[in-house]
Parts: sequence; C-alpha cells; structure tokens
Amino acid sequence: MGILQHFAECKSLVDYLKTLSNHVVDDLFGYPAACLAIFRELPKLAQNYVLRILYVEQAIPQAVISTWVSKAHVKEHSEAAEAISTLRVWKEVTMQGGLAGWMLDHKFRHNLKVALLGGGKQWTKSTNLDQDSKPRTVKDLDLYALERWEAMLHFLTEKQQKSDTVSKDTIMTLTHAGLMEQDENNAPSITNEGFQFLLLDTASQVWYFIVKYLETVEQRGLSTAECLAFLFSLSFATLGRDYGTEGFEDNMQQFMQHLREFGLIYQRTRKAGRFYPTRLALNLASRNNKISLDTEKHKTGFIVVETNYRLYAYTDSDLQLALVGMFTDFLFRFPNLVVGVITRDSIRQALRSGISAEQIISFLKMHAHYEMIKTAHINNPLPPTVVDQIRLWEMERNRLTFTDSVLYNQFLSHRDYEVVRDYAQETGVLLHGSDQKRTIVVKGSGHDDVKRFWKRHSKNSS
Amino acid sequence: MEVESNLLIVVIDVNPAQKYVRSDSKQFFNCVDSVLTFCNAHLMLQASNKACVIASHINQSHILYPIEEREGVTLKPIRQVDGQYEVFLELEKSVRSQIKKFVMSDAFTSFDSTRSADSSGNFTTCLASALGKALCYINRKERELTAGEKLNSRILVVSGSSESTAQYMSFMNVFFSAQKLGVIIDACVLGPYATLLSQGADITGGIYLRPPHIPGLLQYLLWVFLPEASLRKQLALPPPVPVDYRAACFCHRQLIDMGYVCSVCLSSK
Amino acid sequence: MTSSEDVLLQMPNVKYKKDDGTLYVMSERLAWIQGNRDVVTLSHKYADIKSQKISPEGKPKIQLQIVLHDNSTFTFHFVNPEGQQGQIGDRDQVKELLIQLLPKFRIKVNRELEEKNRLLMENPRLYQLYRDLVTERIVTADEFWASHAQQFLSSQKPVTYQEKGVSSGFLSGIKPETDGMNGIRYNLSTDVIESIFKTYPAVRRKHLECVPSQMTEQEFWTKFFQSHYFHRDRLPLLKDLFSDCAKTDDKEMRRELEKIKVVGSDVISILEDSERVDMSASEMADPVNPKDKDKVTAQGIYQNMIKRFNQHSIMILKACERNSAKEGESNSSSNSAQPSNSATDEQAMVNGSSSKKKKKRDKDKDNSSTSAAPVENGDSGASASLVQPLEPPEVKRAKIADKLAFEDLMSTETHSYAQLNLTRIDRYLNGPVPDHKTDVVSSDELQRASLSMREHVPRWEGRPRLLDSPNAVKIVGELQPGGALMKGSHPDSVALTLPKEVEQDIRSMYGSLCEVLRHFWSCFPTTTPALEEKAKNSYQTLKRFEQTKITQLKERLLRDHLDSSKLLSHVMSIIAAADGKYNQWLQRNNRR
Repeated sequence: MGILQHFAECKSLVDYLKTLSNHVVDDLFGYPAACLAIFRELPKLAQNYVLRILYVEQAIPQAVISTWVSKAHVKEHSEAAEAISTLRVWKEVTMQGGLAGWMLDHKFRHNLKVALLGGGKQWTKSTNLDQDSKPRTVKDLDLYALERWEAMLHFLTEKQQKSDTVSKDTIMTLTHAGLMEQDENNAPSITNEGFQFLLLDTASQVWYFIVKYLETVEQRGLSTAECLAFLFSLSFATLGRDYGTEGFEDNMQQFMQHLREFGLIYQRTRKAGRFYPTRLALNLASRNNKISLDTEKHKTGFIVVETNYRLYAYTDSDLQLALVGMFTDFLFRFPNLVVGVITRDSIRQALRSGISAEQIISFLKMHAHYEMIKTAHINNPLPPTVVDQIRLWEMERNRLTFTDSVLYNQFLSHRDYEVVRDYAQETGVLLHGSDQKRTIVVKGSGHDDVKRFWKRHSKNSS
Repeated sequence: MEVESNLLIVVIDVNPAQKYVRSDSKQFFNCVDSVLTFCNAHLMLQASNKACVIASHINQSHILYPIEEREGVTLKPIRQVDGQYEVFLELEKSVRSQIKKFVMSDAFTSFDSTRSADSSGNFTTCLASALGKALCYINRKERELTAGEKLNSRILVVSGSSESTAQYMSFMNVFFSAQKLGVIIDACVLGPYATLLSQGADITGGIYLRPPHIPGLLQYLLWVFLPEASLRKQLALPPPVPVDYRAACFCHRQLIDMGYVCSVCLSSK
Repeated sequence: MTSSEDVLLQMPNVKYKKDDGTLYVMSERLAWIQGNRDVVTLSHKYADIKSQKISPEGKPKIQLQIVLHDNSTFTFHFVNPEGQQGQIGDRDQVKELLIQLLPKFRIKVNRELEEKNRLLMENPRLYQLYRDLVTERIVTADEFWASHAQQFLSSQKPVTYQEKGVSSGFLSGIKPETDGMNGIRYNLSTDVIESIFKTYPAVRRKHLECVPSQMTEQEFWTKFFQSHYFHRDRLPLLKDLFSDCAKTDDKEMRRELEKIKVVGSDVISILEDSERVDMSASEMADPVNPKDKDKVTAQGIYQNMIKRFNQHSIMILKACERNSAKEGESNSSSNSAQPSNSATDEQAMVNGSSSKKKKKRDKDKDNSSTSAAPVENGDSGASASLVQPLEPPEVKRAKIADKLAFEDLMSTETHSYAQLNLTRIDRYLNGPVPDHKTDVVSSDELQRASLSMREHVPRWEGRPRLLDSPNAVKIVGELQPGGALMKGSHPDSVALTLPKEVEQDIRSMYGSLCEVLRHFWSCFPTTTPALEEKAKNSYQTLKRFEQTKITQLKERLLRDHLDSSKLLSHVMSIIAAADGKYNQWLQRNNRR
C-alpha cells in the first residue's frame, strides 16, 4: 500500500497544506488565488463563517460564534472551527475582558477580498494581448495534454526506455516520487507503487505528481509558495483562453517549461508570448471535478463490465490497454474495441505485482462507460458480483500467514508443560499451546529465551 | 462521486419607482454592486456553483447574465485587470454593462403610463414575469445535466416596489411551481411590506428579510441568504415573519376573517 | 390436632429422619406427626411445595421426597410392616393424592405474583411509580398495590377460563420407546389419558366398563394402541375391543347429522350416497370379492380418516354448545350467534388442511351450526330466532329498492340545466390583494427618478466601498440571536440543553409526585374518618417524598451546575400548595 500511504498524507489540498511549514503558508496567503483555493477547501459551514466576518475587522468572541449554530449542530460547528484553525485562516486572540475570540488572518482577509472584489496585482499581463494568430481550440489543447501525459505514463510502463521522450527532470521527479527505481542496468524501471499510480484517475495522478515535484522545487531555487500560487492561479484560469507570459522571472519561466512538459500548459514554442492552460491544470486545487480528457482515441469512460466477468474496453490507446491488461486476459482485439475476461489468474497476477483490489475496482469505476453509469447509479456502476469476487480473490491470499516458530512437545509432566507455557505467554512469544497434546509453539525469536528458561527450571527442580 | 452544484438566480428590481431609488439614485447602484458581490461570493464557495442575474422593470424583464452567445457576434474575452478572479470580474462587468445599456435605452422610459400602471396608479414591477423567466432557466439547466450531477436552485428577489394586485394570480402560479420544483424563493425587501413575496417565501421555504439599514445590504445578504438549503437548518437565522394568509373579499378588496366561498370558483366574499 | 382442615389421608408407618410417625395429607398442607405425639412436627403448605420425587423402582427403600420452592428437601420413608408391596402401595397412595393436590395450589400462588409482575412489565409508568415509591420506602408495597395500582388490578375482569381444547394430532405426540425386546413402550401420562378420553368418549365408556373389572390398565391401553384409533390402516372391522366403539361413534354421528335440518340439503342422504358410491367403486375395482368388507381397501382407509375428522369436528361443536349453553342462560339470544361463530372459527382453524370433500361438509355444518345453536339454546328460555334462508344479493337489493321508492311521491318533471355564463372573467384571473396604502407614484416622479438614474450611470465605475467595519459590526449585532432582527426566534432555552438523564429523572419524579399528590388531594373534603386517616397518611408520604427525592434531585442539579431553582420552581410551588392545604385543614380540625 505504499503509494496510498503517501497519498493519504496529501490527498487533498488541506492535508497538503498541513504538511507545509508555517512560513510557506504565510507566503501563500499573500496571493489572492491561493487564498481562494484555500477558501474553497474549507467545509461549507466554515466558509459561511469566514464570509460573515470578512468585513468585520475585529475579533469576535468564540462564544458569540458558537451561538450562530443551533444547539443540535454543535458538532458541525466545532468541526468547522477546527478546520479553519488548522489552516491558520483565523487565529485565537484574547479580547478585552478575557474572552477568547477569533480573528481572521489579516493577510488572508485582504487577499480574499482582492480575489472577490478586485485590487492588487494581476496574475499575468494579458490585458493588452492581441488576438492569437493561430488560436488553439479546446480540442487541440486536450490532445496536447493527453499526449504529454500519456508519454510520461508510457515511460513508466515501457520496458525499454527511450530517454529522449522524457526529460531528465521528469525522470528525477519520478524517481523521487518512488514510482521508478534504478535496476541492475542503471536504467529506470517501474516499481510496485508505479503500478498503483498508473491505476489512479488522472486528476489524482496529476495532483500526486505535482506534489512530489514541488518537494524538489526548493532545490531549484524557486519558492514553494510562489509555485503553488502560480499553480493555483493557473487552476482558476479559463479553458481555451491564452495568457501572456511576459513579466515572469527566469526561474518561473523554467517552472512553466516544466509544466509545459507535463502537459499542464501549452506553448507553441519556448519563446512564445502566450500560453494556454490545459484541462489537466484546471481545477488542480479542487479535485472534485473529474477531468475528462476525451478524444476519439482516448475516452475516459470506456470500460463496460458485465456480470459474466467479461470486460469490453472501447479504446485504441496503447496506454489504456496496457493498464487494463494488467488485470484482465484479452480475448479479442478490434479496431475500436478490446474484449477481455477477468479471471482469477489475471487478478492474481495483478495482485502479485503489488496492486490492491481496491485500486483495480476504483480504476474500473473511474473509467466506467457512460452507459453503465446511466443504468446503474454513479456511485456503484459496476456489477456487485464482479466487485465482490475481485475482493474475494484478494482475500484468498490472506488465508495463511507464516511465522517462524519452534515446536515443543513430549513434556514429561503436565506441570512442566504449564510452566513453560505460562512463561512463554508472559514474555509474549507464545503462538499456540495445546493442553491435550501438551505441545507448545513458540515464535522463532523467543526460542532461545524459552530454552534457557527451561534449562534453568529443570536444573532447579532436579 | 455525485457532483452537487448550486444555482443562484438573483432578480434585481430596476424600477425607478422604488422609494429608496427615488430618494437617492446613488443608493440604487450601491445596491446593485452589493448584489453582484453577493453573487460572486456564492460562486466563490464552490467551483461548481452557478449564478444568473435577471433584471425586472415595470413591463419587461431581461436576463443579464450569463449572456448567451449569438452567432456572428464574438465577444471580446474579459481579461483580468487585477487580482480579482476572472469569473467574478466577468460577472460584474457584464452585468454592469447590461444595466447601463438598459437604463440608457429608450425601453427604460418608454412605458405607456396608462397601460403599465394598475388601477390605483402604481407603477409596480412585473416581478412575476421575472420569476417565471428564472424558473424557465432553472428548468433548462436541469435538462442539461449529465448523469451524476445534481442541481439545487434558489431564487433571491431584491426589490423595493409595492405590489400590484393585477399580478396576484401569476405570483401564485409561480410560487406553487417553484414549490413543486423544489426551488426556494428568498425575498430581500427594500421597501414597504410585500405581502405576496412573504407568502411566496413561506410557501417555498425561503427567507423574507427587510433590512433596516440599506447601505449595509451586503452584510445582510452574506449573512442570511448565502447559506444553501442544507446549511440553513444548522444556522440560526431570522425567524419567519408571520404571514397574513387571510383572504380578501373579491368585491370589496378587504381582508376578512370569515366569509362565504363560492362552490364553483372558490372565490370568497 | 388443632387445625380446621380436612384430613384427606392418614398414613401410619412413615419414617422421617429415622423417627417413626404418621403422615397426614390434608386439604391445604402435608403434615407429619412423630410417634404418638399431638403436636405436628413437620408441616408444609402445598403452596410451598415445588415438586415431589419417589425413589426409583428396585431400590429396597421406599421413599417419597418433597422439594420446596427454596430447594430444601424432606424425605419420608415408608415402613409398612407388611413388606415392600404394602410400602409401595402406601407410597403410591400418597403420591397420587399429592399429584392431584399440588397443581391446584401452585397455580394460585404463582398467579398472583405473576399478575403483579405482568402488570409492572406492561406499564412502564406503573413500574416507574413502583420503583420510586416502594424501593425508596416512601410507601409500602401493600399500600402501593392497594391504592395506587388498584385501578390496574380491578380492571382485570375475571379471565374467562377457556378450556384448552385437544389438538387433533396429539396422538402423534406420544413417542414410543423400544424396550429392547421387539416391543414398543408408550408412556402415558394422565394428561394424555385425559385428552384421549375427551376426544373419544366411547373410549372412556369402554374404559369404565373394562377396567379394572375385565382387564388391567395396561392391557386396556395395549389394546387401544393396537386398535383402529391409533393405526390408520386398521379398519374397525376387526373383532376387537374397539370395534363396537366404532359402531357407536357412527351412530353418534348419524344422530348429530339428523339434528341438522337445512332447507335444500340433506346431509345424511349425501353421506349415504357417498358410502354407496364408495362401495360400488370398490366393487367395480375388485369384482372377485364384493362382499369382503373385512379387507383393508384404500377406500376404506380414506373413509375411516374422514370419519375420524368428522368425529373430531362434532366433538368441538358439542363442546362449544356446552359453553354457549352455560353462557346462554345469562345472555340473550342475540349473542347466540357468537359462540357458533367461534365454533366456525375453531373449525376453520382445526380443519385448515383438510380435503375438499370435507370442506364442503364443513360448509354445510357451518350453516347447520348457526341454525343448530339457536335450537340448542331453546332451553334457555330465549326466543329462538328463525332460520333465515340465504338469499342472493341481487334479490335483496331489489327488495330494498322496492321498499324505498314510493311512486306517488316522485316528481314527474325533468330539469333542464342552465348554462353557466360568466361575467367579468378577469375577476377570476386576478385575485384580490387587499389594497395597501401604497404610495402613489405619478408618472412625473417616475420620469424624474429615471433621469436621475441615467445621470448617475457614467459615474458608476471603479470599486465602491461597499461596507466598512463599524457598519458591519452593527449589522452583525442585529443579526445575532437576541438581536433586533432575530426577535421571535426561539433561542435554545434551558430545556433544550438539559442532558437526557436529568430530563428523565425529572420526568419520573414528576410522575411519582403527581401520583402522591393525587391521593392527597382526593381526600379533601374529609367527610369520613377514613378519609381523614388517608389524608394524614398521604401527607406523611408527601413529606417523606419531598425529603428524599427532591433533595436528591437538587443535589444532582447542583452537581451538574444547572439552575435548580428555575427547573424546580414549579415542583416547589405545588408542594407548597399541598402544604398550605394540609395546614389549613389541621387548623380547622383543631378548632372543632
């Protein structure tokens, strides 16, 4: 569960922000886009609280705020207050009279107001941008984003690496993220976690990748806050609109080039004066919206699973087929369709390479065909038989656990048996004791201990 | 995985006959600004939230935002001028320009005074038609949903006009259709007591508020009308105004406590 | 012996704890007197005895042991000088008597306690009252049941003890045991024997005749189990003890059927027809032996079964008639339909899984029973209701319609309906809204206003200062719970913030207090000395209650930092009212 562990830590923006240090967060508050992103991450009740006191520039007693909610919902109130406090959006102050109160962080308030009402700096100097001579449509942008992202994912899956498709920086990030490792030939190859990464949905992949990238950003001389702010601003941009690139410092320009490589923005040339954000970058902060990069070749909802364990994948993209092929056996292949069957062997093979059943199921759910979602509910579009069976196959592997141990038997007297058993239990190494057969099974690590004890004991008694 | 989005429709009354407008027209534009900021705050809550602004006049109503794209007319994209989020800027700018255009247009002042005024000479806003347009918009948006999306809608009416008896039936139709659709109608009244709107708020489960301090309109809006339906249950909001549901006699137009009801048409006397 | 009870059996030569003595079985107790003394050494009421045990057969000592409810045992040793047989006989006598006597007492005692338990379980309020008052020693248990629970106890009408019927399949419940020698043992308890006698009165008669004169119990029952009563495939045509039982049963049935006189159907002829038909069928099937009725044919077996079912049903009917005859003496004939309805219900229940032929017969019997019952009750003196033949519903309706319509009263004109012409349609489209005194705006003012708006338009740019902090704070203050705008909303009052247990406690305390007060107030005005006594007692109870419960509650509330004065103000006021009344009454009494 390696990747999921890392993942759980920075699953959402909020959790990621919690991992950042104080001063980074403080810097972040200086950017309106970041404040907006953070605001959107708050729970709904908390959002209302913040807006209510947005214009009040003094502290408000905590007791007063707690009266805003009816008594039946005290729990929600405390959750909301907690959420706001952990993100340091407001802080505790002691007011006159000794009451505990809360006050919105000054920077946060100011910049949120800027985001809402205006003022402050604009993000890109695009006001006087003239019409692009070769405008890019949304479709073009999607194609581009897909191509770039798939190139990277392909890089993960291919055995022979053509290292010119992907830049060294990307390889460095991938290795840092634990998705690839150096094997014997000093060539990078995919790890278990890499497999799991492949099965995630695109939005999570992008988010995870960017997070890992940001961890390396300090080394390159960029400030995390600035990059984050840029990313947030990027995520609030409108799809299909071009933005100017002038006015950014060099290291920011480099950052933008990396983003271009990942497929988050599109620039026609390196020196072009404008760039377009792609769908991958949009809504980076809030991952509620599914990013659906639909092209003819590559649709996001392309899998149909039947109750007889047959799987139909309406796609032609190699990457998607490679992903699906990790856990299904293919039967037929047509120009736009691939038919496969989910069998015990195919699932076990996937399980052996480190993928969990949950990931397979969420992958299938993520890419369930629109028809399946329509007939079933969006929350469980897959047939429950198949889902349960995949889980059962996974549980089959957990039927037996092995522990190194040593067996003691043929005790001469019941008392001896009891003495040894109690001692083993006290020291915590007893695995199994049978009174009728007078046998004890002790963990391998505890064997010496028990042996010494027994020798002492028999010496004492004899 | 179900995506829930909230649609907020604001119906602004641009009728110059409103009392607070007549006394000070600057206040009107302040109120419009407050309303627009309120819309932006609504959009700020969630990426999937949507908004729509409708203006209502004496004899007409127009949808100000979102502006539909017409063929052959490409609008110049509104670009960020400062730190304000683009979408917010877009909303503000377009609504402002539309209102300006409308106020300056002839349609604003060309109303047949004999026809538009009702029997007692009041120039009242035709809110019913604006509300009807809002409901049609909601209906259209609901049809455009894809599988896995859910839309919660509500309408906020910001108005200072007095009420017209001629619109009674239309109002009632609108309120009951809204109730059926599950749409909440809130009323923020800047003028005298509005019976019909209070009844409408009561029927659909909305809030009726009469802010005592009009320049502070924004704070009232943010406090009372911003939370969505599920949150309103948790928060302590102003209590419902007791609604006068007494019927009025059909011939004398006076409120009566006890009367006779015609068994055919259910009109009371 | 100074008891006033009857001595049912006196048994000398009974040893208890190695002492000789005599055992007396009396009507309410079991007593043992040692030797020739006069005073009773040992005496136990049957109510206290849980069960009795006898020493197993084959043991040299013949003993009888009684077990009390508290599990203490007393063993009596029978030492009849005649020898073991005599001892066994003695012991069996005692045992038989005890078997009969013990059940009667057991039920009575348990019943009372059971009643009380049941009441408490069913009524949580009563249970709560009980807990509060009795366990805290404010009111004693007897007082409680006497006064407070009186309504509950007395509301129980005497349960009409309905005799439990015998299920038709009870015989299958007698599980036989093999005794290892190719034989089968059947264990018969008195209950089973009773049931057999109830179901087959003929068997009872036979039993009376044969036992103990012609054969022993064992032999009789062996024969019974070999007979047709127990084996479906043995026809009653074998010449054995029970064959004439079968004949008498048949005769009984015929007699019953003859009682039925239903218009339009003749049950007996149907019966005879069917029998003839069966016979002919068997004849046709087996022309070789037409007269061999002794042969066990399939037809015969079915007939036998059906006869068995019918007999069972007739028994039920008779039982219900007996019941209804008892009730019929006090009820009018209109209630006679009820027992027969219950008969039909029972019948329906018992014969739920029967063959179709039998159902038809039952339907006939249903009809017959409704008519039979009133005939039976004729001896009660009530007027017998005539048998109404069942009519088809259309005929009934026609009859009713006939009776309702009076031709000469009907009007001869036909109305023509007028068309509805609406005038002033707009009245219906525009409903009325009461005319408020709205300000009338003249068109001039309107023009002025719109012009001023237009003027302002060019100035409408930039970022206005919409809201400043002091204003915001003021408005926030208005909107707080308790502020100007929030008047009328119900702020969460103290009541809503009470923790649940405290709420429960207060509630139950209120319940018990009101019960006590109710008794107190019911005593006034004190007309009789009994009422005065009661008043004094209930006042004492009230005082005790106040001292214990109320102080407890106060402490509890103080512990939880709740405002006890507000919560308990009502309680204190009603107690104060009772105090005042009592004191006033005392004063008046003393003056007299």
